[in-house]
Amino acid sequence: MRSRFRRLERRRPGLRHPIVGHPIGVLFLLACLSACTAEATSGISISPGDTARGHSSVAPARQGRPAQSQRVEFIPKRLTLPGKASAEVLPAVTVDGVLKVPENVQHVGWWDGSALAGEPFGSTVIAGHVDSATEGIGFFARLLRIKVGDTITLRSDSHRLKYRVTSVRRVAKKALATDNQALKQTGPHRLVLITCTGNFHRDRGGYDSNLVVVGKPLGLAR
Amino acid sequence: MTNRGHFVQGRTPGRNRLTLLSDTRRRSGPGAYITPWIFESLGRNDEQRRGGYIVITKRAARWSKLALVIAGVLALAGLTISPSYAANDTEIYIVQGLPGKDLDVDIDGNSVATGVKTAAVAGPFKVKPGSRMVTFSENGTKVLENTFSIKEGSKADVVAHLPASSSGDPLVTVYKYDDVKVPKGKASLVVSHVAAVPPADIRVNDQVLFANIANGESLQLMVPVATYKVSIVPTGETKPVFFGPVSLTVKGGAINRVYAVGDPEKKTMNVAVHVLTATTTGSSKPSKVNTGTGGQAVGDGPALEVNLAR
Repeated sequence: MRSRFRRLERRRPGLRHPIVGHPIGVLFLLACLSACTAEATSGISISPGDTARGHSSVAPARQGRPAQSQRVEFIPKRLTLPGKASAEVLPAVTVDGVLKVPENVQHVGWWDGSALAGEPFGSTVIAGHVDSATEGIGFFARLLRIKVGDTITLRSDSHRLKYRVTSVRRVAKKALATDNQALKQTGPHRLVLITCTGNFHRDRGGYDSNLVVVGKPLGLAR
Repeated sequence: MTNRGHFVQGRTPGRNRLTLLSDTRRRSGPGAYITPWIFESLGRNDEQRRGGYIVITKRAARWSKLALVIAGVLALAGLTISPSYAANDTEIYIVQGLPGKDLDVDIDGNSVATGVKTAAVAGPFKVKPGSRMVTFSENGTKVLENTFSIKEGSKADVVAHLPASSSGDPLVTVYKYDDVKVPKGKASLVVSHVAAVPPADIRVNDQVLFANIANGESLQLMVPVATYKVSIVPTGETKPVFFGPVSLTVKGGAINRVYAVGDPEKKTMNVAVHVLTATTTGSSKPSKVNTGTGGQAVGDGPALEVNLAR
């Protein structure tokens, strides 16, 4: 809305003046102001004149505070695979049913509707290119070699959580949406890494399968 | 209020209105609509520029009058529908956690709610930022009076409740919070302990989800929308069960603030539930993830070896 406003202003720079200078414009602004004032003193609002009366002799209320065991949940910003290879994690959105992973094949994308790292339920979904026609091999080509038992670490600026790989599976692309583990936001928390694998069909511009790596958290995020 | 195995929500008109207010707040206020309206109504043909000034023709003036009248009506309608749409409103809610009392509530000496029943939530009440005073009274007798400070644009639940030991005096605890972004299919669940029980675990679906929480503390988690079986037990124990098990259905795209109130020894344990519509975040579940367009990674070819060695 603001950019539209600015555009209009640029196109017709004099327009501000007729509104303020126009007698009806002024009346309108006054009407607006009086409406706002009336609203501020109605019903549930507390008018400024009534503030701080006799406060000094009254004890302050207790402050509610988080318990020590408050669980850490964070948006992943960096992912580290075995061998210390790490990639930046960027938020990825779904457009027309397709997850838009970062164009840069050295970056990976966290589906912004999936679990935060450390949530008690649901999968934290991170997808990335195995390769691209323009940029070559992607960071997640490394997933073709990952094994059950390997450790994966997610980090933000101040938090981290490690996961241990529990399964590496090839899932037909059509079956990904209904896969019991991959995208579901219920069930125990887990990390799900997705890339492409299987047979490459150049005419169809891609692979016929997804590689789905699932890991379970090692403890709580901290 | 009796507990019939489900959370009993206090019913006040203010809380029903909250959803509407929050929904309205997510859009821009009426002002945002008015400004371009006026600008667009003064079309290029209706203005003449002379020497840097704009001269409004009769036709333009008529149009602008009409536009202003319509804009004014829209503005007033907006104010009527949502008296507190502004994003930076400073608002409080009252949570009545004292068993067996109907309380009247004053803020800075002005009555804001009367006859608030146990486990009910009243509000929102717009307040000026700064130091405020809240007074709870029953049949004209003061029960509790405390000050609290609140920053501009923040929100708080002001809770009247029992201390951890039922022999102690009731008190007021203020839980402050900011807007949290919540995906549509998930709920931000905040549990607070304001009951006459020692530090407790909150078991959800037979597992400890909120651990070792003491009177005056709270814990927050993001959980998928579902119905959960919830019970409150002493920290590290499974019995005696202070409360529950009860079924709690959380609301998606919302902040679900749950207060455990009452005293198990007097069989007055209950929960007050305060649901606030949140700013939603996160895109929908994808049906496809396409992450390979080159074909270089097929098999274990030399290209793969070379690139991985980088």
